[in-house]
Amino acid sequence: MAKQQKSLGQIFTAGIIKENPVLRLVLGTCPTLAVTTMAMNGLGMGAAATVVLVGSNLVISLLRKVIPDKIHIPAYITIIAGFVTLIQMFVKAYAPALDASLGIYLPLIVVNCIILGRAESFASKNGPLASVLDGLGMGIGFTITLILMGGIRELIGNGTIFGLVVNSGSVIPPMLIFILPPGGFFVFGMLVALANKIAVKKGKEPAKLGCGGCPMHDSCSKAAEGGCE
Amino acid sequence: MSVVNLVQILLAAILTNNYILSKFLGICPFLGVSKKLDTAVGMSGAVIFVMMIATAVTWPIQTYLLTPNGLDYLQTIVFILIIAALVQFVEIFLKKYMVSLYNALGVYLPLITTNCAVLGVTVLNIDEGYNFVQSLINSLGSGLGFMLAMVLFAGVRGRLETAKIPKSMQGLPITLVSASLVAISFLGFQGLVDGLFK
Amino acid sequence: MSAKKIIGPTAILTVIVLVVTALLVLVNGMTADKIAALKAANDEASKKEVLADADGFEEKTIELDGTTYTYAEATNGAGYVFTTSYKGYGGAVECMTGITTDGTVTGVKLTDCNETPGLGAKAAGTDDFGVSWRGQFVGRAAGEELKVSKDGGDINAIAGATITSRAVTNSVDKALEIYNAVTGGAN
Repeated sequence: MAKQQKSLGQIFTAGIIKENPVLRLVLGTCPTLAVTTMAMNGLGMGAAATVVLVGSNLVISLLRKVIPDKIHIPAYITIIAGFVTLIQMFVKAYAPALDASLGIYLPLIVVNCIILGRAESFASKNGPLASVLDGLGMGIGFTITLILMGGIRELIGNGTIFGLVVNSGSVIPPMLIFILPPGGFFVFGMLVALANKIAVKKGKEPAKLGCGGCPMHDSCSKAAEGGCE
Repeated sequence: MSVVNLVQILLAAILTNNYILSKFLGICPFLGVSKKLDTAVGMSGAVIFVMMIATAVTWPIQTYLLTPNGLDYLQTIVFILIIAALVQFVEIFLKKYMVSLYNALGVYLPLITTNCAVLGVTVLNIDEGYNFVQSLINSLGSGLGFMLAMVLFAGVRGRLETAKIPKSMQGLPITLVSASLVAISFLGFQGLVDGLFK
Repeated sequence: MSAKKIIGPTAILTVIVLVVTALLVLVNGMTADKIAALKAANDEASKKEVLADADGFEEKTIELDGTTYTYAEATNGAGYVFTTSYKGYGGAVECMTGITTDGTVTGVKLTDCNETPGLGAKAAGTDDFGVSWRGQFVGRAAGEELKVSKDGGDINAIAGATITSRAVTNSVDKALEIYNAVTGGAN
């Protein structure tokens, strides 16, 4: 049993800032770009993903000694897919507006690298309480980033925030391109640049899209060579 | 479902609704594997391959097994498991019988299981109500669009290597901003499909 | 690879799949009815938005040019609601059009709109702009052919969203066409 390197509190807070899944670990980029056209969507997606993350981390951690290594990927995927389907059903029944705004990205939570990534790198090696806290921290970090990006894009691109009109467009018309795909890439790039600047100042590495982020890195032959690049 | 309709679906998937640049599916490989042209092509080839086989298997299962029995809610879990299993089989098959192809594509296959573009296209085929042939054409188009975006971007990143970039923008940030510029260029294709077939 | 090495992991995987599936079937049983009821209520509310005088609807079908269309007839004879779609910018744009028994359009609502936010999506908006834009269709009658001004008609397209505007116009036009078929061209 590995020595407990971090306290439970540290595990929880790591996911929010220091190891923010989007801006530092560069995971979950697809939904980050896709749903952040409005701050509200970011909140909805973040909440849904957090529930799945905590649930799957818990179950995988509880079963970690039972699941053989050979079939661990399909086993994790099944468990994660189970939680995603549960969330889909609850959202369709109790929050249909969210279902309409998230669209295809709700079922796509199942391939969100954050969830499979944390399952592989944390839940499979740590106890249930730590895994739940890790999931919660990562989920909150994800949600905060989504709201931040969604808020910026909605504000500049539509003049509203959470639907409330801030800039009615009479002086500065909203810049539509920010809620279109290019805007997504641009705002994401700027946020990562900002996060990198802060990280480097604190003596840490800038965020890299390397193997560490990819959930498949344990079973990928390229990882030994230093990555897909 | 005429030939014109199929060509419309194909062009839409490649250009106007490009999976990477408009739908944001498949971003991880787009940012991670597009640095060199040959890896970009290899990855895209594997994606096209898996997308089409996945469509060929998931569409009939949805249409003849899930929907008639009211099991639509099992779509997510069934589809992703099919994709994961398919990728495994394809890898084993290639390794044994088509070694040269395996050497070119095989190593990217595990990465494709979690590629949202593959699950995305199988779900979208059903959502859009496409029939079998339309679904195959859509997945072919999506894969080709993926390849187009990857190859274009590999070229862009090649140029970035020789450019002078401010410190905080180096690495991921400048890659993302470049992606946004490529995405703007693709916006120019909007309306193309409708206009071509007036 | 010995048989034992394959059977063990496969069995565990099968158990996991079965447990998860069983759980999903259970939850589906709990939520399926609510989801269906929600959808039906939403649907009826949307129909009442475009045909305010109706108190309920009955589903009917009609065949036109080889395609079967399903439409809703108001049970109190207030009129009909047709759901039609036409290809827009980002996919098919689906519209619900309410038409009274004397052939005038009473309302148009977009039920499926994946158009560009800030441009085509304004056609579906519930704000003043959206309401007044769709208001162009209210009062139009079954004998008229609706087209956007660019195509020689008199419907003003949304600036920068001609394709979406055209899609909505064509959808409403189609609804009028089906109306004519339903009433046998009496109006």
